[in-house]
Amino acid sequence: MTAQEIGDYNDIVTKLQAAIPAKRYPDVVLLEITRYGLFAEKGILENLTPYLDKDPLKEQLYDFALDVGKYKGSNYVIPFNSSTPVIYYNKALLRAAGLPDTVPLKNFNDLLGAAKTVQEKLGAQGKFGISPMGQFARWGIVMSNDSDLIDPVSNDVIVDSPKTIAAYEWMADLVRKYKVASVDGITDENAAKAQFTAGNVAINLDSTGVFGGFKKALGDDLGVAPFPCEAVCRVPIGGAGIGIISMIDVEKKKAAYDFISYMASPEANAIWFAATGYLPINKKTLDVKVAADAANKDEGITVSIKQIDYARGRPRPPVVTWMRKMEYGVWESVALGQKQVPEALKELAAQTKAQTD
Amino acid sequence: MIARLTPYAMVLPIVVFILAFTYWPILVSFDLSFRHWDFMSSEKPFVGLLNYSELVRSVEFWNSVTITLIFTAISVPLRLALAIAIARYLTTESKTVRALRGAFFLPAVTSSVAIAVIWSWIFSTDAGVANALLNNLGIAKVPWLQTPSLALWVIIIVNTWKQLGYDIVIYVAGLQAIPEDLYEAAKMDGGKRWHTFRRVTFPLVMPTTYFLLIVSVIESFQIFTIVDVMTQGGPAMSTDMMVNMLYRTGFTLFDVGKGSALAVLLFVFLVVLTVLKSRILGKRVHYEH
Amino acid sequence: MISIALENVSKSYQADTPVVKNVDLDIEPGEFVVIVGPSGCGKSTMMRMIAGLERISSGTLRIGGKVANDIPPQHRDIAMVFQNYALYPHLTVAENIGFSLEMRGVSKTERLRRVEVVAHLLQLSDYLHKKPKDLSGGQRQRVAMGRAIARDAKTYLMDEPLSNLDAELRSSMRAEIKHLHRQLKATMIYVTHDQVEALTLADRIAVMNKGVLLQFDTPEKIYDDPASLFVAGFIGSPPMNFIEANCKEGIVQTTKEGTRIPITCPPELEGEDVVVGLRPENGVLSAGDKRMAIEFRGEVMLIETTGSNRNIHAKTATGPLLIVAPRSAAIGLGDNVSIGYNTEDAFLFEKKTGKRIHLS
Repeated sequence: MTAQEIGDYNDIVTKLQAAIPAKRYPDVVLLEITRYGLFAEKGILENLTPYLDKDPLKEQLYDFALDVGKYKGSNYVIPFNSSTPVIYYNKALLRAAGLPDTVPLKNFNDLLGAAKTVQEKLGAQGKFGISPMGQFARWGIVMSNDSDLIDPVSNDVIVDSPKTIAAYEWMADLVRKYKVASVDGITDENAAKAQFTAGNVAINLDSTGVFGGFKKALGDDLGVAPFPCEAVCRVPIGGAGIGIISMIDVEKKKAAYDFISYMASPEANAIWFAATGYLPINKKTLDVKVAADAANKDEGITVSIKQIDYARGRPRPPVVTWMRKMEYGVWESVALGQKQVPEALKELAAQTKAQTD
Repeated sequence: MIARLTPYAMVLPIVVFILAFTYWPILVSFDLSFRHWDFMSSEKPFVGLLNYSELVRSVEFWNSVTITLIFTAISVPLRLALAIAIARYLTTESKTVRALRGAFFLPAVTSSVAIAVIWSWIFSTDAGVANALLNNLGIAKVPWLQTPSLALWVIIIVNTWKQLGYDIVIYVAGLQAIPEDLYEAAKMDGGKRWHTFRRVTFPLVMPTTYFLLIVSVIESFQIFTIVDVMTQGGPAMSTDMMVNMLYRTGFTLFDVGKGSALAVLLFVFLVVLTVLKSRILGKRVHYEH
Repeated sequence: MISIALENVSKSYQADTPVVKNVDLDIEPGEFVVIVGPSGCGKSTMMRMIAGLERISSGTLRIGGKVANDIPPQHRDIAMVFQNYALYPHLTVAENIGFSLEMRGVSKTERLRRVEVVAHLLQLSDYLHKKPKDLSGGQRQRVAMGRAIARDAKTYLMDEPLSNLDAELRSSMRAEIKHLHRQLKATMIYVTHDQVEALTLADRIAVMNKGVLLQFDTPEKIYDDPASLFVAGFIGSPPMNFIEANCKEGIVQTTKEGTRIPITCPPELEGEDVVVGLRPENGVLSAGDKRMAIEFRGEVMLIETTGSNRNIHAKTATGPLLIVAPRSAAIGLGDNVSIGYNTEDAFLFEKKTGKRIHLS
């Protein structure tokens, strides 16, 4: 087996799509959890339900893990890394701003309040209250406001619904109105991460999968809190799952499935969980010593596990892939104040609908 | 017979290579520009000129054409003027001068991605060196890459910085070909520095200037990597060059037909420019010295 | 017309290796001076210092009596003709000739007028709109001259201006330059390695070797009264014969059989090596008659006909000897001949220093 490093989730989609007509596709592929629908729809991914039905793994997997890999009732990918967004905060910065470590961050107002305090007290030193949201966190904020980009049941485009608009308004205001977030993170999500790990930002909403990296950078100053519940408590499930390309021969498919199944086993999943902070997907993962040790050592890593009850897979019709690409530009333009939120989201909704027709 | 065929056999590998990797893809994109396709579907329905007509009726297309033209119109003269100004001081052969030429040339052979990443840091609004320097002068933070009117300038600066060394080296070669006694004659004739430059140096490096002009215009139309890394065409499409639009259309939005149509338009334009280049260069006087 | 003076001028690019050494040179207003010497003797460097194209390392340059070391070239009122002409290849003949006027802000009509006058003078009127590459070598040379004289400068410098022309053109251009000098009445300094050019053109010749000015005098004086062994050998064609000898008992002597050089040595050279110089054109061929004071016996090895005369190369006991003989002399290869000179035709040099020893 040879592994190929491709790049980020967008790049994988691009490379895979371009590889198909050239018949240069891989045997198995890691796809982001909202972007595999495109390939399932076209018959490129193998239906894994028959394999799962014969595999004891099926009983070991959490429901959410099985659920996010389903497209139109069948399983097409099995999660490898799963995540929910959480709130990360820098305790040292909060303290320096005169806030307790335990400052409540339960809703949008709490976040804004804390961010404002930090900005007021420490802004002159080049510190920031909060990071601008990355796309995963943006989706989480929208869901927390009891809305979505696409209706999970009907698959209708609701990115221009009032509650979604309100969520974007709030996120954009952090930058354009309250100026508690750096503009650099808007045009470059990695810059937001880098500023947080450099100790220059107090609050950062991001995937639980970056826990390991953040912990390494900030050590005991890193605090983790559950994602805010504004209108409802609801978080998106992110990460990626492994699928099998349907065009390969039967023997290879069997081997490929064994690989996938192993990657979801308690032993493999435990190592991954402990190193990164991605969610355990196997009910027995936390029984494995390395995973249990990690959970005992720092409860921060367990925050996202506690969110599993109200975590939800996101809709994944083929158009989501397209829409997520367009959303970056929309967010950029509203956060930088170049466009009004309602106008920009209505435009995105119209384009997305046109794309589905 | 064998003797006659040998030369052909020897060029065969490169001919096959060029056919396979240059001409075949061109033909394929030409064909695809008349079709609808998303890479995965087995059908590629023929749609005639639909891709082209959609393209020329879209705001996005004319935006990227305009941005690319503005970029070219500013960065080409800027590059050439800076290059010749600097090259004039780098024509002598000494250790220092050679080191300086090397220093100027280094960015030209450095990976565009690396360069773009580093300049992104430099121009980052809250953590960048550029703003830190301005801050020392008492100037407020400038959101370089977040302001549509500034982002293009940043791209122009970075691209100029990268390409300048190449232009300088070519100009140095051009200037070195001008015999020293022409300058001495101009000195004796009473030419002041600017006059001498305008009436002697500049006309004599004209062939070099024409060459660089064409090459840099073509390069400007092909700019992609720096933009893709630094701004992805943003903010608000203010740096959306033609190749960025092409890549986005074809490879991230999977509208292969329209992407190919864009590629064909760009190709035709560059072919025209190249033909123009050989015409102009062919006609230029090659001075005897 | 203006005077130019060099006082103790030296030039070195690297310390300790000067290319021009302590030169004193006084050029009268309107004078035509030719600096002559073998390549690398420093003559071009000296001219370039006068032009202002090279800095003077030490010493003083005066133009019209004023110290000019730091005056930039364009303000010295000096025009220069370069060895390779240095014509601007992208400009027409007219533009080349008018270039210095253009640079000095002369109006276009005045420029055209002056260009036409100069072009007429140099017979370039038919070529004014051509580019240098469409001209012959001689025409280019004239354009280079034209560009210099259009300015009406007080001094003209010419750096081997004829070296790229063929022999025929060179001699006709020589005449033109001489003629021009008379018309322009300007000071001219002309650098060449060709002693014929020097002799024909100069009012005074400056002979240089290894960065040192050896003699500065009229052509006649230089020819008739060379100050050193080098000057004697460099000026004159064919070159002077040199015979090595020794001063013994107050008389120049060679140990060689069949040679008689009855010249008295000054007492201070007693026992020293000397060189006797004899110009080929003064030698007399006498088949056996012993009538001349100085005499060599030899065998004819080679005869070159130069037209009016013949150059006879003979092998003598003291080495090869060349004389110029009239065509009428009946002589053939392998003949044994006697070559004679008058004592007053002989030059005596100290071998060690090359210094001329004047015979009393």
